[in-house]
Amino acid sequence: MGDPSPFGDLLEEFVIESYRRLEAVEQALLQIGEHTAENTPEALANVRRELHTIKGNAGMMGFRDIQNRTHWMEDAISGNQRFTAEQTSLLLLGVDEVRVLLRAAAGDDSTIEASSEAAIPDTAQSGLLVQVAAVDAIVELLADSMILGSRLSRQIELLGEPAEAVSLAWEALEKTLTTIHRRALALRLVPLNPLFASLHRIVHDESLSEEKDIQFSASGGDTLLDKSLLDVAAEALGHIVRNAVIHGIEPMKTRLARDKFPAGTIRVTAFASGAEEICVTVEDDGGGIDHERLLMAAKRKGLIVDDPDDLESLLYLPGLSTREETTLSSGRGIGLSACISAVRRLGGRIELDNRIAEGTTFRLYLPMQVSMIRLMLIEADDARYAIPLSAVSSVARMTRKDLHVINGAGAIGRRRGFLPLLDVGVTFGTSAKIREEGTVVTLSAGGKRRGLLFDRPGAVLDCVVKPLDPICGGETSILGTTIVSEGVVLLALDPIAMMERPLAAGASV
Amino acid sequence: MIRKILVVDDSQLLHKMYELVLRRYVVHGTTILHAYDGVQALDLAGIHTDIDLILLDVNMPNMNGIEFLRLRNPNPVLACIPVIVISTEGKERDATLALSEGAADYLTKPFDPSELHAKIELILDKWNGANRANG
Repeated sequence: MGDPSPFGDLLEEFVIESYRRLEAVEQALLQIGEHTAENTPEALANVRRELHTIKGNAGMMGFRDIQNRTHWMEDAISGNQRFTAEQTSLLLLGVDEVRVLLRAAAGDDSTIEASSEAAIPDTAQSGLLVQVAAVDAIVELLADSMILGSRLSRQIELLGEPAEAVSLAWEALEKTLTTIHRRALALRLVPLNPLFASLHRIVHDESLSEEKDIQFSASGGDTLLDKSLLDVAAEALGHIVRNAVIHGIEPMKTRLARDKFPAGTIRVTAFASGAEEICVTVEDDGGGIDHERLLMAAKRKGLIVDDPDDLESLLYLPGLSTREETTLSSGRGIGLSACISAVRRLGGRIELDNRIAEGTTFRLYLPMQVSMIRLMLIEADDARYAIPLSAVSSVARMTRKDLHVINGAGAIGRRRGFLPLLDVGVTFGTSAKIREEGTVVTLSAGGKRRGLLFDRPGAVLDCVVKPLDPICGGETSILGTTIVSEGVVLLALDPIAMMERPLAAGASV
Repeated sequence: MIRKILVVDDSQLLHKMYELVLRRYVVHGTTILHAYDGVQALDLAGIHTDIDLILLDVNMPNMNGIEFLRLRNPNPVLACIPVIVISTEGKERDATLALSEGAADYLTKPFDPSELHAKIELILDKWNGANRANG
């Protein structure tokens, strides 16, 4: 059939609904496989029904491949009341395949379901589908308008008493803006349930290949988290759970010798640990982390250990695994150490409670929501700063012969006249005079253009910028601070303030 | 003329599809009622006594389409609303079962919008004819 489906407009709807149904199928299969399903025949009937619906819907949408795959799975289940581990795994592979087909069908555009009751399971009937990018764009614009707002309030303050009426009107508007910003951020909140389902899946797959018997349980899946944090949370928790299966839970022989229940337990719990923070704990009843063995493994690999007594920094050391052989799963995704720095960059933290021979508990704390800004790192006189990428309109190298000094201030020649330069080192007192070579980024705002001069540019990163504490005084050139990697805090420059700084070296305000 | 159609399907997607088809082919001002399983369908049919047509999925949680048909049969008001049963390719047995339980017609997924339209026309013609004969 050359014709596209007459229901092409419903593609997104189809993909989202099928994903949700696949999740139900996966969960039920995992429970049936572990014999933890409350009623296996009923659970199987549900799996069949969900697959049947996906098949029917895929047919309506004209996706033959999805129809065939789900048909095959439905057939494989029909008539069976019990499954071997191999059969369950085969069906789970089927789930994965359908997911891949769905992603292809969707063209891989991610969406979230916006709903005031995101945590209630049957939002299918009252939800609204929104492109993540659309929500992000609104959040970004609001963040921008709030930066502009703080500039406006500075100007109003300077006007003093005559502007009191303006000031009052502005305060009311600012309050509204803040509320809209908060509401827009809340649109990105999604429940953790799907993430927990994927952790369950990891435990199932890994325990099968490790030949360990492990019970998985999860609670608090209705806890909400910002969609933009979900990927990082998934990576970090995936590592922790995988490590718990591979390294944490002991082989059955060891467990029996320790008077433990032969099957291991991994429990994942999520809850709101504060008004703006959630905590996800991963608890296993395995052997705990062997500090000595970890240390030996680090030495064998020639890794540099700063503090041998600090178990946590040892655990998150890049390139460390106590495993001799590499397994299929160990090479997946980014490493635990990279995950941990990502968590920290986003304003989260991780805590560890290690009990030898009893088990390990990881506590991952994440802000419930974040407002991220894309920053470009810059370096001047060995000091690093960051500047919002949205303010940068171009980047160019400057050599000695490009630099002109006019009235003590630097400038470079451009087609449409001179571009005045602000030296970052001079501005922050790390150099006495304007550098003669370096990199210039062109900032533009309010119809004015200005070049920011420094030594060299660095990476571009999505970061959370925290405003400076008022205790630091009214340093208006700084947007806030940001953590870009392990323990490195940078100052994020306010591009608008940079446009207003006096240009001439040594000049004072 | 159709004034009220009850759509019974557990898939939100199918509800949207029916809405697209019905809005395209059926006169404006038609009310579409939505139920997501047999139980909700019985509830809605109890409240709205002027439903002209029911589109019924077979494969649903809580109460499936066949069970719905069996439960509505003893109710004289419900029993005379024409029902089009929607089954899925490979489950033609469901359709036969539904017809024996009093469904007026059936359609198999995947279907074309025009097929659904034709079935609706056919059913309503037949039904209107029967009504005239009775009156």
